[in-house]
Amino acid sequence: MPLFRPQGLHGDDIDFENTWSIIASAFKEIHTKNASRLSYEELYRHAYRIVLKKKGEELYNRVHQFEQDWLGHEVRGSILSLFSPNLLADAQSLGSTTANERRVAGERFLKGLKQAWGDHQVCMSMLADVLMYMDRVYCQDNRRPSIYNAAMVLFQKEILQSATSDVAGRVVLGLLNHVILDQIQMERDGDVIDKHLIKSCVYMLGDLYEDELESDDQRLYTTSFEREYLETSRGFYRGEAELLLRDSDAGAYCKQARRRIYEEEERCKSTLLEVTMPKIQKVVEDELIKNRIREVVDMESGVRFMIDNDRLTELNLVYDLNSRVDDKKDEVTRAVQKRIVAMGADVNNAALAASQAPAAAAEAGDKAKGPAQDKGLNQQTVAAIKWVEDVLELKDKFDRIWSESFQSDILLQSALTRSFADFINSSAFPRSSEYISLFIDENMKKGIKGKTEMEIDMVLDKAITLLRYIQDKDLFERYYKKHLCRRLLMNKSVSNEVEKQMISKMKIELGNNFTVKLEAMFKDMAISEELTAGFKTHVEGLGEKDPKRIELGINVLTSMTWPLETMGGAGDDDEGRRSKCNFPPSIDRIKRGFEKYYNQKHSGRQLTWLANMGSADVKAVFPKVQQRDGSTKERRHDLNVSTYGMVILLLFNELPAEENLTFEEIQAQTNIPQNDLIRNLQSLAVAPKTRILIKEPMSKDVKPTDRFSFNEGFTGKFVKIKVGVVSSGNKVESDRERRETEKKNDASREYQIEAAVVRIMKQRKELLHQQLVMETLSQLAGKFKPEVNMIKKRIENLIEREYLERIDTAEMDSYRYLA
Amino acid sequence: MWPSLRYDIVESPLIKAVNIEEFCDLVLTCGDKTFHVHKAVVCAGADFFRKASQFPVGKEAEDKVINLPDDDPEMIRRMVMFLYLLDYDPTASSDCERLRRIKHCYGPVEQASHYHCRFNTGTFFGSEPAPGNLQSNMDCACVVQIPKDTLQPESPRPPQAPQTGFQHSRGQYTVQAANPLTIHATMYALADKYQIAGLAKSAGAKFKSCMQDHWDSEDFINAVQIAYTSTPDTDRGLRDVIVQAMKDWFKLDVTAMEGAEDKLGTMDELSFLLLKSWPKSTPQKGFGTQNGFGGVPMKTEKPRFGSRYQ
Repeated sequence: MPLFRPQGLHGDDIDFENTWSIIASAFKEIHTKNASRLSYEELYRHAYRIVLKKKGEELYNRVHQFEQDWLGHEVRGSILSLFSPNLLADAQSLGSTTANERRVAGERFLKGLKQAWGDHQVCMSMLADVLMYMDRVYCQDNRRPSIYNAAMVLFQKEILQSATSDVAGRVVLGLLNHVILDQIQMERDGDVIDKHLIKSCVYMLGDLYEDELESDDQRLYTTSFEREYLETSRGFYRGEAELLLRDSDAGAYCKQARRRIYEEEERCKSTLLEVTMPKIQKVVEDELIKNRIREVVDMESGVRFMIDNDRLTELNLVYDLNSRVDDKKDEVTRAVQKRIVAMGADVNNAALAASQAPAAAAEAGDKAKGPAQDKGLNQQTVAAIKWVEDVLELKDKFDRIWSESFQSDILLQSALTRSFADFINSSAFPRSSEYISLFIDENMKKGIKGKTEMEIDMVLDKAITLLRYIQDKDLFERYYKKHLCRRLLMNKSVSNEVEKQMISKMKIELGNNFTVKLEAMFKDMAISEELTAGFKTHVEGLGEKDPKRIELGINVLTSMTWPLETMGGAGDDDEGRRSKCNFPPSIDRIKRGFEKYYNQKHSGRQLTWLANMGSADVKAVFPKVQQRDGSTKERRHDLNVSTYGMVILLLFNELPAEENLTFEEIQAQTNIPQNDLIRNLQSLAVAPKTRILIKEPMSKDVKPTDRFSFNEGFTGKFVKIKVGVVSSGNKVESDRERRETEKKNDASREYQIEAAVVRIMKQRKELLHQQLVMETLSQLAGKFKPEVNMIKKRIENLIEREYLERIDTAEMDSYRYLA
Repeated sequence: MWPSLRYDIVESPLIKAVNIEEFCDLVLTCGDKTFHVHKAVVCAGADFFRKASQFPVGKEAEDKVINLPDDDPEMIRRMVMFLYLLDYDPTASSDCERLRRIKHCYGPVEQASHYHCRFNTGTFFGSEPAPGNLQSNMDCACVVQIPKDTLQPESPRPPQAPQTGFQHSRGQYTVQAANPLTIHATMYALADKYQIAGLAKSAGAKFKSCMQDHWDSEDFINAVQIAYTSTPDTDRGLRDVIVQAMKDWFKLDVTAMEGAEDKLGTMDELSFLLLKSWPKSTPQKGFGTQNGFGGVPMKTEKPRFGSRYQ
């Protein structure tokens, strides 16, 4: 016989009912909180035996029934007792209850529910401990939910889904949602609520599921509460947005919107579950921002107002809100761009107005005296400089907004740049290239006097900043060359160093190609200095010093590099006529001397003398006349005149006193172009302070029939007298000049376009028309933006000249390169 | 090289503590036995004890005493041993020494009439395992410690046993138990009942190791009954071993007979004898002759079972 009783339980069938009653009574004690000193081992053992005896299912069902009864009777009853009229009062019938009454009733309900839920969880976890063996063996083998989970579902069904007596016919769950939402609404309205209590109930909803599958998206919190919460929040914020738009300004709106977003974020952390955060944020963002941002931006107190009044904080708020709902920040960008273009247009118009008013006056008095016109042009220069400074100020303003309000956003930066380029290159304002060049010119001549290196650097950088926006770089180059040319030849630059700095800055910004010709100009100047010095030594070496020797300062300019055609003032001058100026013999001698000297050094080079651009110092002796103090003495003056002026004056050397020359005679003898002659005679005989000649009859205009004689009675306060010639400085061009400049520029553009087209075709051999245009545009983008029409014409022209041919067989327009 | 410190060289502090009943915070009682143990060990090792110690309204948690009135005190002793050492008696002769560390290692044991010798067939010579799934190269876990050395006669060597092979000789202070299968089956049930981590696996392996030397015994009948009545049907751990043993030694496929396996739980001695003699006509192939080194020269001419019950 076996020595000990086998563990096996066969034979002695257990008495299920008896055993269950033991377990059930213990469970009852646990539920009624009466339990103490139960024997865990005994309860476990009973359950174990039942399961081992294959009665697991019966046990499971009994426990289930037990819980169902308990919840259905005891717990539901206690929940029902929490219902009060204040609790069941609908939010619509606000009149009958105050928020406070509702809050108190709601809290009582929440507390009761929280208590019931907490008890249920505690009891069920004890029951589950006792029934551990059943869970492990029976539930697992039969794929039943653990008894704990089953009991949670029961709570859902028996308690949360049980009907309430309120008017809306809600179940407890609906009521619970309603109460929580009501409390949240109270908090939104500024009340203090028991967040902790709500959170407990929210946790309960997070732990319970729609069904027994317990998939994540089936949580009651998600399926029931959250949905309602998002829905009511949407309604609330929609209303709030409307109210705010009506009653507040844009700044206040943004502040409130941001506060609401922050509040909802906090609410998810403190009162609800964090999974809701992105969803509620989206609701708030949709209602307060996305659907409204356009209105907010366009409000009277919107972005325009903020920009105009430098409301940097508010702009930052708008930016922040916009960027929450839109990565591209379209609305803010749109508004800012619009403002820039508008403010830019104002600046442009102001400059145009400032330049046109005196221009009109000058035109009216064109036939009158020169100095008036001079003054008018000066005013235009002032307008140009003011324009540059206004643009820079605008740029500073938006730069500050960008860095302080827009968090240095890259997208906005390029939008700002685009807008600045838009108004600077606006077709309604064709002067930006010229104005910028003039701004530099002005500073090179006067502006930088007495400034420190750093200040100068800042000025130069400002110019470069603007230069970046310029689309037609070729036009700027043209103006800059012209202005630089005058500065160099007339020795107007304050500092050669600063000129060179500017060039190197442009080199960095625009590349080597852009500055190569400008640098060549500097080189010519340096070589000319050497030539002048060399020639002087050469002449000294020739023999005895001639007291009447004329000193020659010469600038030899490479014709391709210097914008000579723009320097004559009158554009219709041509080379042939200019060279024909007859120099007096003494001048002619030294001219020939230099040509000889130069040819020795550089044989085969053609020198062309530009008499219209030189100047001369002439010592003039005026006969003795009675002075104010009664004495008489000869008066000597050093006259600084243009080369033409010198040629004219020398004519009078040979002329006996009292005799005169007619305009025609002067013209015949000197062969000075008529326009130049008129202007020079004006400054010598009409300008009040430099009236070295006397004109008959005395009038402001110079007519071919006028007669001129030497003014022996000339008086001047200073020994040195400068005889200015009209329009010799760098001034704003007149409209006619501008058309001229543009015409010349277009001619050079045509040439560049042709070069680009040929380059491209040489490489590609065959190409579609559209592609060719695109590539040409991109090749020239750094220099200027050609019109497509112009490209088309150039292509036609190249075909005529048999560089290209049309491919007739091709479906789309395309070309072939002809080698 | 670092000297590797292992608890088989250094005394485990926990074993020391349980031996001198130090820092014990839980008492297990079962019949006349009382075990002072550590919650940290016992509750971590078995879910049942963890829940019992934490049950908020239970007297166990309050008194820090857990009474187990329904179990065999000897088995509870083995369970405590396992919780501390991850082994219990009887065990393989090579593991026997380890168990001596804990003071709960001795218990009354019914000794087998003879000490059966045993050749290790597989480990060194790479031979095939014995028929079926039963790994005969495992050391039979039927050896127990005894406080005082007594002589247990060795059973005669089987005549067809090869001279080569590995034979465990009887160690000092050890004897072979008469009913290791019953013990292992009971421990297996205990593992299931109390959720003792690792015990089911250990007891199952030991049960299997003893099958080869002990299948032909009353111990086997009792063990079968325990296995089929004290674990849920779905637990195939011991059931599979038993079914395989039936196949290997009784030449009987129990699973092929409708409902036969369900009846194993109520099998008595007579059915067993009938079962055993049933397939005599089939020659017993494959024993000891499968390879050059000889297989398992287990089967003696005269079944031990017979000798005891004649």
